[in-house]
Amino acid sequence: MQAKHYWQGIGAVLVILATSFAFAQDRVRLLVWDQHGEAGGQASAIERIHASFMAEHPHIEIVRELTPFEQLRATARTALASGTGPDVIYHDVTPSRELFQAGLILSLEDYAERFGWRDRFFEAGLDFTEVDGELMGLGLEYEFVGVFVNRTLFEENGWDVPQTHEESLEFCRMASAEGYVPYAHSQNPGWQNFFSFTMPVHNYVGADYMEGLLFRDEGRWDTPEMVYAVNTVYEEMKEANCFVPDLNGLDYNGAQELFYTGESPLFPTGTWIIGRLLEATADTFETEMMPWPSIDGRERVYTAGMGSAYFISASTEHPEEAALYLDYLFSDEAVAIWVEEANFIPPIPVDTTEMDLDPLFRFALDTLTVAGSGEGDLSLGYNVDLLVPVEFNTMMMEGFQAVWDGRKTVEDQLADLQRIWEARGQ
Amino acid sequence: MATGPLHQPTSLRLRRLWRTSGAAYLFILPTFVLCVIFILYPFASSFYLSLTDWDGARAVKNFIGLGNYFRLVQDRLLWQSLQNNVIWMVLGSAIPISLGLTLALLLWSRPRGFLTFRTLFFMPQIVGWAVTGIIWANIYRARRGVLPQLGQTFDWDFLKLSFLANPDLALYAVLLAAIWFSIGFFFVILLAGLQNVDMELIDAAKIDGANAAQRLWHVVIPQLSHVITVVTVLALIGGLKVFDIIWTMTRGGPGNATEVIGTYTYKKAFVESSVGYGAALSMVMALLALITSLVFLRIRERGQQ
Repeated sequence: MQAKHYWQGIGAVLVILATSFAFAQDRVRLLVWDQHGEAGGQASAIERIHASFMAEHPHIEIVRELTPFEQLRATARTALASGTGPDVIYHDVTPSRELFQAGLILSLEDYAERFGWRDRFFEAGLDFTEVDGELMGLGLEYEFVGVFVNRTLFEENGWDVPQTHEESLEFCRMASAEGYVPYAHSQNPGWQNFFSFTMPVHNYVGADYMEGLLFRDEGRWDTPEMVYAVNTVYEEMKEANCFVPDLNGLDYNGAQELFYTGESPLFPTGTWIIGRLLEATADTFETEMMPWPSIDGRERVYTAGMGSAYFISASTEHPEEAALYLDYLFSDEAVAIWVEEANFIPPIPVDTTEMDLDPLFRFALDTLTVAGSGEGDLSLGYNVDLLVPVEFNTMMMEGFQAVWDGRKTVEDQLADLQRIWEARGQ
Repeated sequence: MATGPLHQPTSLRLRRLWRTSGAAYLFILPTFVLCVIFILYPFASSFYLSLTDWDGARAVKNFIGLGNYFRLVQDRLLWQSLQNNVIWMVLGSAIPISLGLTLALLLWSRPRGFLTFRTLFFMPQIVGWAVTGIIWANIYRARRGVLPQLGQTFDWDFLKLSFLANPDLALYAVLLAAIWFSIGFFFVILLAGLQNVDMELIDAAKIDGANAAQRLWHVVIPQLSHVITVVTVLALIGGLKVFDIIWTMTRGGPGNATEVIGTYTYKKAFVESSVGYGAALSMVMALLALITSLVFLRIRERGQQ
């Protein structure tokens, strides 16, 4: 009797194992590398999206590995080229272009047709993830750069928010004399100076000129107008004490701290910070956003770009499932989670009527929706760093640090940028 | 007809070699295989890459001969990086080794609190280079850093502005953090070396009337020379390879004020995707490390002779 039970037990275990094995064989495992950390609710948002995707598609298992940008930059190429890397990767758009050109990232043209992505996404949003008209990824972080304003602090002190460069200089002199750091700007390691270059240049030479320069190679980086625009920051604003004097020693966290603690009333950065900013300040003060002050009465514009996007590895064994996954990431259900929990702005129309959004985030979302859909008359400029070669960005980072501490002239810096621009693709 | 060992048939000589040294070769073999796989092969691959224009992504690697090496010679930033490496090697070796030796001598006699001091001095080693960099970046951070705050509190102008923002001081500021990190390591090694110093020789020197400085210079240091040689070579090579602490604190900035070959190589290879050029830079770094070690060891050997 005991022997019979023994064999029955073994039989049952074997059946369970065989069934599990067969099920596991049918199940597709997608390895996804992304950068969604805990801050700003990103990790919980992606986990929720994955859970609902896997519930809807039980034959697909998503294995997520958090891979910060620095690590991605060093390993993405090798991982994708090895064929054993991730099936899907969430990476910055700029370095991904060369991965696509090297054949390491899959073209999404067929899937765009099948899933109707070109109808669902804003054309302006897809532009950022196209190479020669071919779609290589789906951007998630549609964003723009401007100046965050501590509205509460301005009201408490009876200050007017500076709208022009002259007002800005005057405000800097007054606020710095009272012990404030007027602009929470930073330059260590230097990527933050993408903003202090891009915004004044757009405001002075205009978004149309920048569009011609960036997309049609019309114009130059080292014109007298460009020099003038950059000098408003590195000469005039510096002299007016708009920033900390040791700007090259302040990192981005330090700049955030200045703004979050009310030590700085203005914070030039991008909408990607909104989630974290609201976490830190929603209970203490009210924040608004405005474009960089106008220079010589010229038009002020926000500059926009696509931070990171989802791409499919060219060597994945499961392109169909990966495409299905990408499609789900931009489904109505997932987009609602991205928007509400992580404060991301995908380049896709979002119905926010039922959503409880902070006014600051709603403003950013509406701005990008109007600009992305092309329905209003709002035009945005371009975040230069997302459209230029990596060497150009390195020169912006290192060169403007040197300009700040007087080891390089603005003219030389812009001439270097022009040289790199002309040498691109060689 | 001569029948000495030189004229023995090859098979006989091999058999004889196997009999006398076979076991030794067998013991060496696993390490040799590992060396080939993990050191020689990657080194050879890097050298090959340095002869190409590979960007790290394309399947094709165009052979460009010594093109990258010719480019190196004209690269102003490489020379600036090398200059910073030399400063780092000199100060980053001399200061922590001297301080480590001083601390080791002070604790040699195992005074009260020996274990506490030894643990404290060695503590930075536990946190590692990257964490050390983050800690010190926060100490120096403009406005909110520990030092600028101290400067504000006591109205000391020289501390008010971040050292990391000053291109003339940034390298030395990072170097100070590195010295803080490495003193403990040299201290522990030198303290261990001191345990082997012959106390009878010191006693004899005392009887001969040698004072403390003379005993240190003529009795202790010579007996520590092998340990000092090892730590110096390690420090010099470390000064050539330095990367983590600079990357976490300044990324080579402001401008390129703290650029060293390690950070420059990383930027070229992994940020700007010039893997071929980055490989050439790493070859230069390896060659310099080799030359440095050989020169220093040769100088030591001559000194001993």
